[in-house]
Amino acid sequence: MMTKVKTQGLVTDLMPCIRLLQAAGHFLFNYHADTSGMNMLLRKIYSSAHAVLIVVHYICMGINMAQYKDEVNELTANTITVLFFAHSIIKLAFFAFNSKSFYRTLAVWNQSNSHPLFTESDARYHQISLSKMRRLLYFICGMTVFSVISWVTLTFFGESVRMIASKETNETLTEPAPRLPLKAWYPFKTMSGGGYVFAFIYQIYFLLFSMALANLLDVIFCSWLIFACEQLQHLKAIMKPLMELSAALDTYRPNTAELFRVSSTDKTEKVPDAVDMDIRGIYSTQQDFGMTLRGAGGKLQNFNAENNPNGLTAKQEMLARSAIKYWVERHKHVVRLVASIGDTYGTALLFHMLVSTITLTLLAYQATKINGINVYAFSTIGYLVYTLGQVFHFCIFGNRLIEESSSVMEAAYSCQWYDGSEEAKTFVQIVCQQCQKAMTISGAKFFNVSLDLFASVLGAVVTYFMVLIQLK
Amino acid sequence: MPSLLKTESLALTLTLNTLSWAGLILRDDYTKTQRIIMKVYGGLVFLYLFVFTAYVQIADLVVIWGNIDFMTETSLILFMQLAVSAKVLTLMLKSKKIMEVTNEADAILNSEKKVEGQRIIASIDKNTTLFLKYYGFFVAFTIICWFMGENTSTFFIRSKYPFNELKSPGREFAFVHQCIVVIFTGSFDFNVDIIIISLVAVCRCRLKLVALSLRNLCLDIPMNKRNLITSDEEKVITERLRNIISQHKRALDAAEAIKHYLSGALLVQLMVSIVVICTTAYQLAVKKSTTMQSLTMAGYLFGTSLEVFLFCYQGEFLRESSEEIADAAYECPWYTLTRPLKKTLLIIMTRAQRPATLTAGGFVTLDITEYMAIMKASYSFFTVLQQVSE
Repeated sequence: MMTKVKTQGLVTDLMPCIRLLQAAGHFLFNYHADTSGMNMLLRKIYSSAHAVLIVVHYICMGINMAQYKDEVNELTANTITVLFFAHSIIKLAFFAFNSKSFYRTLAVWNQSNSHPLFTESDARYHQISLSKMRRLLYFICGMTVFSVISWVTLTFFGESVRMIASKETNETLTEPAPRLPLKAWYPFKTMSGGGYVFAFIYQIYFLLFSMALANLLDVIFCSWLIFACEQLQHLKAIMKPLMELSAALDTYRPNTAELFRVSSTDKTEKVPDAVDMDIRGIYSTQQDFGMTLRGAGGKLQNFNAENNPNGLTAKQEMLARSAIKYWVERHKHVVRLVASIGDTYGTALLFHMLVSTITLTLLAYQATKINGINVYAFSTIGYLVYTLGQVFHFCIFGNRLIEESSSVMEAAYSCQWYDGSEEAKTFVQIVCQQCQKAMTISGAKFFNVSLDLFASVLGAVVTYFMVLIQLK
Repeated sequence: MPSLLKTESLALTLTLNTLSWAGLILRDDYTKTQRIIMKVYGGLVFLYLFVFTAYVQIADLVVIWGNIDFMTETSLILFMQLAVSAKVLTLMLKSKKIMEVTNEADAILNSEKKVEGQRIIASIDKNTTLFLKYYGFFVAFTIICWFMGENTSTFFIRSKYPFNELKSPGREFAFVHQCIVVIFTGSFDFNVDIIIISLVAVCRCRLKLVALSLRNLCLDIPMNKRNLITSDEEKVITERLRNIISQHKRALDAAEAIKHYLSGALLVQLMVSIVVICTTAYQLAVKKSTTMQSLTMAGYLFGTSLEVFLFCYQGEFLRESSEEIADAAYECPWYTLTRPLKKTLLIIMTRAQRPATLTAGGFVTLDITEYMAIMKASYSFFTVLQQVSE
């Protein structure tokens, strides 16, 4: 019934993630084969229904928080839960309002240049990025399901009560509360019976879908970063053959070792055809690229050639220039992709960090009240690990992007540029100059996404925890 | 009477004209006598608005020394006046040089013919007008709240006049003085800030136009199979590059000049803002005050934070625009150019690595990270104030 939709570039790579996003209820309406009015309407109704259900439950949790705002313990716990699920609401709304820029970023890689010399390397790194993206998706999906299961399991342990401070005697009393994963206000009775079962199922749905909403959007962001990093790896990998190629341009370097040695391998050399415009035929063997210049420079540099004292035909010069053009255009394409990613997701990261900072501060306070291995300890540590894990998730990929983009300059320097022509040296100069500044993703310019950010967040949590322990 | 000053930027037009009516900025088309008259008039305005007010407030401060609440209230206004007077003084003293920079920038922006260039100018103008509206709203809101609220002073600001202000005619004089001070200090502060922001925005615009020209360096040169330009094309591109470099140099000079003139005033503004933010936060958190007073304090708090944020934001944008030049040079098809041209591009890129920034006092670069540092410093001073009062 559903015909295969024709996709290209990033959309093809990220299709499983996109389908999961659509299933979770994000307002993602592109990339369907069948765009008839009826089906689009059905999809819009599906997404809106999810949005309404999730927002309604969130409001119920908010009402519960307002009801018990006089109890400090209850207030802190409810605030943490409300902030925890604020991520999902924010990301849902963010995607709905910003879907155009998401589509734009997904379309950035629709047309990419190619060069016959480098297609093999391109394909290899593309495959690596694809497998990494899949692995990330499976891991995050697994973690989400595991979190939901462990949350529901934890509900059945311990006392299901609320801590109320009695005004007269000033000690904490316990008030029975329904044994549900989340504390929320419902217009019907949920202590037992039909209301309890309904609320329980609603809450499982809410847990699963809201966590999926938030995590899958982060997965898309990190997948983009993985793709960009692998493209940079590809560029670094082809720097060396490119240098060796353009080493032939206009410099004559006597190969001193060869002068005193009879070369024995020239019989297998394939001489390029003078009228053959197909540049793929010139270099057909791997050994043309595997050699070093000082050792056996004879293949690229033919001392006996009549047309050019440097051993080059015009075609070889064209080849070298076209390779440089491919490198530079591919690099510019990666820069455009990273800029687009930053514009699309930067604000979402800013909101995420704001909410996470407040959540972690409150969690540090809650952690000081742990007094043994019980349900309270498990739930507090669970919240902590999950929140820190979310921040770590995008910090580590942002950091990798920074490292990869600043190491391009080192790769340019580490290839044998001094053997290259003046043309090659100018190319290396400009590339080094441009790649000095690493490509970063910033949260609306307020911070850069890197492991430094994660370290500062972690340090802040530990500091608050230590200070609060002292104050007790 | 000379006619209205016109510039490309709407915000700059409005604010420069307002200040020139108050005699604080001298226009180029004044004759010599007019210039002298306006200088005296401007000096008198400055004396009345700032020096006299500072004097009466310091006199009051001496009287109420020891009472923390009253002291914070008076020092708040005093410090804000200090910041405004520093900025106004800078503008008055450097008025001629600033007008020079404005006129030069205006000529360049006017002569921009490319469609995309005009679009860039229009978007930056829209940006500055937006700042004008938001900031103007806050200032107006705070002034209204100040008028409508009850204060511990006889009129609006705590002050000790050298004459008896409870009996007329001293009473009328003091009342008029206070009204004028509240309205005009607020509006001058607003005007000067918008002028500073617009000047920086204009520099940014010029740098963006340089980046645009660099990006379009080989726009109408067809790509040939050899990926190398011919010698005729090389001549054309060399000429274009020369123009771009001179544009770049003049834009950087203008940015450097603006930074130099505004540096001192911005330092005073920053110090004062830290003090104002923590005192208003203290007033809001600790003092018991009526709704109107709380609103006024909140207005001050947000207004001052917004003010510092606007400066830091513009500083960040300026830095970003000057670093963008390197990216723009990389975006043109430089691999098709000859080696001398590539070396020229390389030198442009190297220069662009040292960005044009806005500084306060020469040692503090105003960008978003600095804004966060200022907020953190204000918050720590606020907590210290809280401890002291308990």
